[in-house]
Amino acid sequence: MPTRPSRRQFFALGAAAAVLVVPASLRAALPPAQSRFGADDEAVLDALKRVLYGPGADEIDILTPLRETLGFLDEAQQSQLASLPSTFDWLSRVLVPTGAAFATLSEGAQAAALEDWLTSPLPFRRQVGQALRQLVLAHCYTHPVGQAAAGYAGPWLGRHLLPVHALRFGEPE
Amino acid sequence: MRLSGNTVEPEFHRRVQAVVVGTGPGGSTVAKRLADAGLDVLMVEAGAYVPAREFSQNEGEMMRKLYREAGLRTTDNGAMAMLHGSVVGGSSVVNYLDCFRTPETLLFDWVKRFGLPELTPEKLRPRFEKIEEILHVRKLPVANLNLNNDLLRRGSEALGWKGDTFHRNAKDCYGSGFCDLGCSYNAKQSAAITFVPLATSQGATLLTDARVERVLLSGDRATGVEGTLVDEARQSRGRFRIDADLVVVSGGAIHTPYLLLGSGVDDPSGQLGRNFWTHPGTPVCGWYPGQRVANYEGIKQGWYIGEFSDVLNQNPIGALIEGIGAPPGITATIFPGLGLERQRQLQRYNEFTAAGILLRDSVPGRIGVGKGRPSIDWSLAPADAHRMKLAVARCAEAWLASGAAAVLTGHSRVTSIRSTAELAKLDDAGWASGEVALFCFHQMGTARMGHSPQVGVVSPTGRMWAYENLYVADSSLFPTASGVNPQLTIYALADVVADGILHEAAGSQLH
Repeated sequence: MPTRPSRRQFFALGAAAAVLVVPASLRAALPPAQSRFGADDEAVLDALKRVLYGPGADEIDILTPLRETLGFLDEAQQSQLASLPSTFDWLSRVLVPTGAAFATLSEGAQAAALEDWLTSPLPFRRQVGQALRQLVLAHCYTHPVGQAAAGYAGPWLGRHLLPVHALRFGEPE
Repeated sequence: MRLSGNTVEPEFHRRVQAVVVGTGPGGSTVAKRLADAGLDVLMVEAGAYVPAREFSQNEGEMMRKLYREAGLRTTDNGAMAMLHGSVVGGSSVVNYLDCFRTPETLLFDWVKRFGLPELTPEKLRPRFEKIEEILHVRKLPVANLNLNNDLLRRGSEALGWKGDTFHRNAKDCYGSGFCDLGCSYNAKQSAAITFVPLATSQGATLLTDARVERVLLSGDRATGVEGTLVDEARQSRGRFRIDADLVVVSGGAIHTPYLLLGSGVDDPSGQLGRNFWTHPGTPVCGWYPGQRVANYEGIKQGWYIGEFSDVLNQNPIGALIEGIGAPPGITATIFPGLGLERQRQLQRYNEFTAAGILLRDSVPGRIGVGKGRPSIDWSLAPADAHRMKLAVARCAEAWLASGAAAVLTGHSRVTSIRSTAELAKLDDAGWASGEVALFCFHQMGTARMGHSPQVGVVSPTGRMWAYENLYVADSSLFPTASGVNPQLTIYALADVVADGILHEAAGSQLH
């Protein structure tokens, strides 16, 4: 004959249900998977560029190469990467008391919010923060303006003087 | 003959004697050997054929063109970047040319623990000699070290540590410093300009831009492969099927198990996808104020410290320290801080040296089948994190010994180390996911060789135990992490597999 659960069992069941239900509801509420960046995503990426790169960020276009990068990815990774900025934004709104979109915050508030992600005790938040940080910075410093600011000479200037051999597969190139 | 998935008919079908999936060091070696033996061979490559004239030396463009997932692939937990080539020639097109013969202590371990009698140093020696001749492997003279690598040499020698210059597979190297973005001068003797054309010159066909998605199976035989043809933008444009008497999978330690698991192969060992070794690495940079180091100029990888290697020097840390050149896109992700603060540090980019830790990991990860892509289950084990910390500290000591004013690590919480007394900062640096920059350039294991199905996924000749004609030939075969840069070991093991195929299958099974 079934017995009523004890108080401890009741809480254990409740905790187990929460573990199962909360991520499911979170998943349902999260922005849907997509294969390209939407306007909101691009606003987040642009805001992150300003916070991470600092002065002169306006001279650097990271959105064009980022869109190009997306095109090179497998479908599964495309949707994962394309949804990352919205996911970051959505969760930031939940976590920030004002509930404001990341792109609309002041630069100081954006920097504080990003730091919060990067140093969070929750691995998931650190991972998302780092992924976006690396994505944005890598694209800032593969841009000629970013490279020049770092003093990088870019593609080797002498290469046109040297013979460039073509790969051969038994047919003319 | 070379065909492209971008131009062949959108429903492409071919019948051959042997199909080889992948054109890196493993696949191209087997393809060459089978073509030499007169077999009708077709190599299938997911990536594109990119000739040297298209290697633009532009970091962003080349990362997209030459690396799998545009160089953005990470472990599932985001903890470590996984970099590997996806182009004709595989990772040999984007590596730093380092050529180590498999360390003898490691070979003895593989022979003893995994029952692999063909892998003794004596039996592998003639294979290495043959491969090194084709790849034009030579030891780099100390005089050719760039300043970055020379400072690492000076530091390690001042501390009395063992180290040396690398052997490299280069011919007429100009030292342009763009090895990782493809060699514009074909000085790097990658598989793309050695074993692949050697195979095609013997009649093998190369089909590029074709992603194999399934190995076709019938009972105890593999009957071919099928997959998707992609266009220049890497988008699907058709399907292909290759029927074959013999199937060799050489997609690397991530894609080989992904493909085989996804194809539903019978794996009596239960080990397929397990034992995923990664040589986790992290950068350590030295700062030399007022000195133009420009670590990206010249030969990027020239000097290594072998003192702390377990396979070269029986050191319990078990790590190699290798000089590296870091282009700005990658360097920017290492430097901590935001905005102006980080920008000011980057303005001193040319004053920084760079080295990488290559740790021989003791706890492996696992490759599985995720949603439309491989799942990569890996995290840095506490014991390995501890050894990594020790290796980072030794590298920092080397930079400080050669005059660095400060050392920067890949940690987000450690700003700089200015003396050996400050090495204690590393104790609280944090090694969890997102706390430190980790890179993986070497993926190994996942279909290891062994003398029985209880020990290995494949036999000592690379054959999957449950199939007469299904072979693996790439870094998946490694029973453990190699502890050194793996390209020569991959070539040598593939050569062993080629012998096995010609002995076991070609004589009796091919129709």
